[in-house]
Amino acid sequence: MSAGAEASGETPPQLGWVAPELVEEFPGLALHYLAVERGSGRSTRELRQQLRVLSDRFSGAQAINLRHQPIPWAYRVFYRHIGLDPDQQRTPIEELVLERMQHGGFRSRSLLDDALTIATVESSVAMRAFDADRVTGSPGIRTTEPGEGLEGRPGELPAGTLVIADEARPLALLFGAVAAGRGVRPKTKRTLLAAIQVTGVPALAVSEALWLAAGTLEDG
Amino acid sequence: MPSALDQITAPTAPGPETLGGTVPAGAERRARDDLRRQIADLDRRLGELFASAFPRSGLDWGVGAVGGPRVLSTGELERVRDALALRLRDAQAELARRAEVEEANRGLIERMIAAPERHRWVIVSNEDIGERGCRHWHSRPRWGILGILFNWWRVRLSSGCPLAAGLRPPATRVTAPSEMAKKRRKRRPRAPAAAPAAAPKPAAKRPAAKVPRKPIADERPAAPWGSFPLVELVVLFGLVLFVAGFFLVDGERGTQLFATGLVIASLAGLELSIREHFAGYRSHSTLLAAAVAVAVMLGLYYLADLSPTASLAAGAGVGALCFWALARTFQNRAGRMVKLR
Repeated sequence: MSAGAEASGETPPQLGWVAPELVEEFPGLALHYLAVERGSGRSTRELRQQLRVLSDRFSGAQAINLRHQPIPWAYRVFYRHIGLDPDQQRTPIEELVLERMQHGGFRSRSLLDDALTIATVESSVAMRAFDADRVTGSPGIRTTEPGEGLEGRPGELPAGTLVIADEARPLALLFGAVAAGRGVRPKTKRTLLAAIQVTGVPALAVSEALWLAAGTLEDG
Repeated sequence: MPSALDQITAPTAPGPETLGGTVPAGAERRARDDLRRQIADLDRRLGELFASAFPRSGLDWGVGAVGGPRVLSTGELERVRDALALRLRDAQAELARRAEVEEANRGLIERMIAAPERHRWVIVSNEDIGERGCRHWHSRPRWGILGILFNWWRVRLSSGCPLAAGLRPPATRVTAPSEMAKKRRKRRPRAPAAAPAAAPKPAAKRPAAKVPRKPIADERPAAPWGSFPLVELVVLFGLVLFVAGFFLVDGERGTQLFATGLVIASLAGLELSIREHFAGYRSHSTLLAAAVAVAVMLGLYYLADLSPTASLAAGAGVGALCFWALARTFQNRAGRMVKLR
């Protein structure tokens, strides 16, 4: 049974599983997900206008002080805890704000990406999206086993790499690339929105991010 | 302010280099938890310092990654913690050093304003005092050459940043959460990354005439012969001839002196206009086009023996053509057709 079948329509966000050894190591780590009965597509005029308004709300001073705010800071710290440099591989909110500063506004790409941009900027929560029909069972977070790889990526992943996975295979690196064919494509009918919660990020913000992204996607 | 290193404690137990996919329990995990708390605290302090350092540039905030995403061993967490502590300490030291220089520069501005004649040609910019913007204080002579001769100096406060110019910043590669963005995104050629700006230097040691400053449209272009006031001296010489020819010398000799003075002063002014126009500092399209038109007109009338009407028409045509070309040139340099100050 796919995750999309478990959680669709008005179902509240579901809590994904986290491997036991990771629960002990990172007690605040969690994956919340929500399935939406629609794929992506072209962005709408209203959504682009919303992005413009959102861009106007962000100034340089806010960008500089972003890492003072609890949720962006929590992701930065978690990046360091898992061996990533948040100044090289930026957290989703910092990446968007940097783009806002350099480009002069949040860029509109597609319906789904605009929805995720709005949800991320409003809540600062890191989000991902997958093709719900290509997710087996419920998604979660675990480490890779020796010999495991990411579809579409040559070679094997180093053992112990943190990934978002379903019950069959890794779907994406945690905060990294999505496996080929597991992300949302033009022919995707159902989207699985996933939000990564780390220590310091309240569950309320995660739920808000998922609802916001789902609502934007459904209204678009 | 207590040093970040003071709060760092040794982990409670040594650990293996890698986890190998298994997480040992007990003391080992408590040691890692302790290290993670220290990393969080150091990152918070580094973030605060980063925000307080703005808009100073040239500081290194990078802390290398040990590779991930994965569960780090105790040793790796220690490396991250140590790198953060080192970066924090270096940044604090560098900021303290800059703060001293900036404070000295603020004092220099006060002294410049109080006695500009004792700080001739000194420039202090906002960057020198750790503030954003392009404002600068410049001790300059009042009335050009007259100010130099009579020791009349003042501090001019310049403001306003130049218009954006050059290549656009490199396109950022946003990791789009979906695959849709990958299909739509076009690759753009990346511009070379700009080198980090240098730390501010004491402004007192930077007289304007000796320090090469970045040519920006908001500054008068420097003369090819440097800081020597050649144009001002030539204008003064022309004025002396002009006054002497008009008031002191009678007859044809007086007329010659008058005309010579007028031509010399005009040529000096023309040189300045050409320099300012082609540097994009100030538009002189009309003046320069008129100068060319008059030269053509006189040349045709006196040398080619054309009729006054034909000379006038030819001069007007050439002038109009020159005006168009000069205005286009200025637009390319300054980003707009007309720029008056």
